[in-house]
Amino acid sequence: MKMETKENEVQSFNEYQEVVKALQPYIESARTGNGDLSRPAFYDHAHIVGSIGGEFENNTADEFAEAITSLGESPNVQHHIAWIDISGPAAAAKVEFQDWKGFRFTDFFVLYKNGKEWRISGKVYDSHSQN
Amino acid sequence: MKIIQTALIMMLTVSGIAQPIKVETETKEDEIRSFNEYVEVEKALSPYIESAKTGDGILSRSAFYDHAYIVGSVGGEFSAVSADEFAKVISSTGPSKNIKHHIAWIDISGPAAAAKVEFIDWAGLRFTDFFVLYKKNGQWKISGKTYDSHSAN
Repeated sequence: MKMETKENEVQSFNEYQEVVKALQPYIESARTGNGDLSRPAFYDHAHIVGSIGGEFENNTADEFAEAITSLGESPNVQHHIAWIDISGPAAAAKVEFQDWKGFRFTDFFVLYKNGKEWRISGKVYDSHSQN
Repeated sequence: MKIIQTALIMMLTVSGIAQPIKVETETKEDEIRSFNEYVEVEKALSPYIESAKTGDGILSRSAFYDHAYIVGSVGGEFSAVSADEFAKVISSTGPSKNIKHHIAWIDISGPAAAAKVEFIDWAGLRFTDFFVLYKKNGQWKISGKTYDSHSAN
């Protein structure tokens, strides 16, 4: 069995930072209401699925960007990346939000690294008291 | 006197004065339901896992939402396929009788969930799958999947 090299161990640690970076435009867009910022965080095929006010919502990345823009800014939004799990070029993540336009959200993501760039391939969310 | 006391406690309770910071406690029913939800997510993953063994693409297809994409790479080729395309791949791959799987974890928040499943010997390949799932009208389905094909990436 091959031993892990010093380079490998540094790379596997840094990969978490790369996934955080991939989530960052999305997290930032929650605060600023900038849908154009949110959009490149997602693959074209990505769907964002959940419910708000009892309505099932299934949006494409494009539709979701429009929703972000129309929601506008949430200067008081707070977030916490609960966990990130990585296996090679695939990953999953869980992010908690409070006060995104007054809402509490829990987001689950699947991500994939094509070449050097991580992007979100799918997202499902829990809107807690708003489901 | 006892009746008046009881009535007063009830009034205070209803008005929130008696227990101003009361957080709803979990009921016996709640705790059973939250436990059983893991079983429901496992059931949702089951047709997919079974299809890996049997090569039944139609069975696999039923586990996914129409919009779901399955994203990864095999043999150096990036692959992003729809649930329909993936069902065809499952059928053409055929049965993998010696396949083994392990559900590494499931995390649930309300109607949303994520899961990680490990496979060995799926047509000779080793896979790690990440899923996002969503429960609509009482039914969990897979909304997206990314995978690591390990030495075959």
